[in-house]
Amino acid sequence: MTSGLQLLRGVARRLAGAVLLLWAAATLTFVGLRALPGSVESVVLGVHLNDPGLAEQVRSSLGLDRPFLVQYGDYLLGLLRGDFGRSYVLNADVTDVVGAQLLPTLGLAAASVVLAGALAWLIAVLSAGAGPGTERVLHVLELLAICLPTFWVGSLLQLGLSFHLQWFPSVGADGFSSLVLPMITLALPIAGLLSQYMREEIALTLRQPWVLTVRSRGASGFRLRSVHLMPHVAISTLTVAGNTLGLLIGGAVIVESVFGRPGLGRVALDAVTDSDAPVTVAVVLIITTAYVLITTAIDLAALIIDPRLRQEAHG
Amino acid sequence: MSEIAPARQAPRTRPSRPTAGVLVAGLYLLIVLAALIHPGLVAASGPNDTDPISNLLAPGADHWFGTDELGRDVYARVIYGARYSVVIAFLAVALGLFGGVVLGLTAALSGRVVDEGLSRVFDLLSAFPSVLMALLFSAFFGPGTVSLTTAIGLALIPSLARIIRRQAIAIRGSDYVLASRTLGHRPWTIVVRHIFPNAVSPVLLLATIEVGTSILTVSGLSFVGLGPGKPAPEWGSLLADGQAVISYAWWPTVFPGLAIVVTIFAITTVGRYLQRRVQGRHS
Repeated sequence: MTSGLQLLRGVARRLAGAVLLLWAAATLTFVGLRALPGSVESVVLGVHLNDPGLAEQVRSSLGLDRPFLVQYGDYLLGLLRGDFGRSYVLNADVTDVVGAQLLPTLGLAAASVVLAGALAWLIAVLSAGAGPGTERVLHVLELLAICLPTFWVGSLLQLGLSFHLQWFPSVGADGFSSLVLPMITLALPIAGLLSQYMREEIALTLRQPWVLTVRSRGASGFRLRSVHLMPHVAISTLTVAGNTLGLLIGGAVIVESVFGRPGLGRVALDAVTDSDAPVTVAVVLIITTAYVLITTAIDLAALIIDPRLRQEAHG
Repeated sequence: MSEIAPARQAPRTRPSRPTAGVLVAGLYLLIVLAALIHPGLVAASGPNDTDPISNLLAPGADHWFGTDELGRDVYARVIYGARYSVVIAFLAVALGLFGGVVLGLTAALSGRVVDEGLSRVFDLLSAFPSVLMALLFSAFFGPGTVSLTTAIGLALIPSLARIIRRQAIAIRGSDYVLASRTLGHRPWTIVVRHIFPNAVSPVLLLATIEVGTSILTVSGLSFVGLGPGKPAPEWGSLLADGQAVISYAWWPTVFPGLAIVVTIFAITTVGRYLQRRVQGRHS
C-alpha cells in the first residue's frame, strides 16, 4: 500500500474515532440528565413542587413528557446546532448563559499556554547540557511547580502582590492587569510539566549522531539548541499536550474561582450549587469537545509529520 | 550469557541508598500516618473547638498555626484534615486501580472484540479529565465526598488500565508463560500465578505517586465547593476559608497550603525513589 493511502486511512480512522467519542459523551450526559427521576421538577418548582398540575406543566414545557427516543434525537440534533436546552433555574437558554462566559476562559487559557510554553522553552534551551547541579535544582523546581496547588499559589500571589505591594488587582476581570496574576498561577504547573519533558527530550536528542555533525560544522551551542534541536523537541512535546490540556482545564476552573473571574468554570460551579444540571453539562460538553478536537488534531499532525506512525495505525 | 552477567550484577553491587531527602520525606509520611490513625496524638485540641475570644490569633506558642475567624486552632484543623484529603485521595486511587486492573486484564486476555470495545471505553473516560468528571458527578448526584471520590477514581482508570493491558499482553507472550502452558497448567492458573502479579506490580508504585496527585485534585475541587463541605477541615476547604480573610490574616491560607505541598512532595519523592530501586533490581 502506498504511503499516501496509508495516511488517508489513518486520518479517516482517527476522525471516525473522534466522532464516535463525542457521540458517546453526548449520550452519557443525556442519560445522566434524564435518568435521574424527579430532580428536574423539584429544582424548577422548589417549594411549589406539590402544587397540583405544576409538575406536569414543567415536564411538558421542557419536553420531558415525550417518548424517550424522541427526546434523545432532539437532544443530539440540538447539540449539533449548539443548542443545549433550557436552564432549570435562570429562565434562559443554556447556550446564552454559557456563551457569554466562553471568551474570558478562552483568553485566560490561551494567555497561560503561551506564557507556559515560552517559560519552558527558555528554561529548556538555556539549561540543556548544563551540569548535574543545575539539573538537580531545575528538577526540584519543576516538581514544585507541578505539585503546588494552583488555588494556593493564587492566594499567595494575591497576598504578596495585591494586598502587600498593591501592584495588581486581587479579583475581577477588567483589563490586562487583572489577567496577570491568574495567568501566572495557571501557567506555572504547565510550564513545569513542559520543561521537564522538553529537557528530557533534549538530553536524548543530544546523543543523536547528527548533533556531532552540526557541531563539527562550527555551530555554537546556543544555535544548536535553539535552531536544530527545538523542532525535534517541539514535535514530541506536542504529543504530551494531552496531559497539559487536562491541567489547563482543571486549573482554569479553580483559578477563576480564586480570582473571582467570570468564565466557564465559574458558571459551571454556580450551576452545581443551584442544581442547574443542563448548564453544568453544557460546560462539560463544550470543554470535552475542545479537548477531543485538540487531541485529535495533535494525533493527525503527528501522523502527517512522522511516517513511522502510519504503519502502526494498522497493528 | 557470560557477556550479559556482569552488566546484570552492576546494580546489585551498587544499591541506590536513600538520600537525606528521601529519609526526611519518609519520616514526614510516618507523621501523616500517625495523624490519620490517631489525630489526638498529634494535635491537642479538636478541629471544631471554637473559642470566640481568641479568633484570628497570629501563630504563637498556644496556637502553632494561629486561629481562624471562629477561633478554631488551624494546626488542629490541618491535622484532622488529613483524614479527609489523604483518605479521599487514597480511596479514589484504590478505585482507579481496581477498575484499571479488572478492565486492563480483561482487555488483554479476552478476544479482539472485547479489547477494541474496552479501548473505546478508555478513550471515553479519558475525554473527561478529573475536574470535568467531578463537575458531571456533582451535577447529577449532588456535590459531596462520594461524588468526588468516584469521579477522581473513574478519571484514573484509563491510564492505569492501558498500562496494565500493555504489560499483560507482553507477559502473555513471554517464554515463562509458554513454559507454564507447556507444563499443562490451566489458563486460570497462568493468569493468577504469572500474568496478574507481573502486570500489576509495576503499576502499584505508579498508583502510590497518583495518591499525591489526587490529593491536589481533591483539595482543589473541595476548594471550589465540590468536596465534603463545611465544617469538615478538608485542606482545600481550609484554604477556601482562609481566602475569605486573606486581606488581614495570612496564616489560615499559608499553613494548610504548606500541608498539601509538603505531603504531595513527600509522596512523590518516596514514590520515585522506590520506583528507581525496583527498576534497578529488574534491569
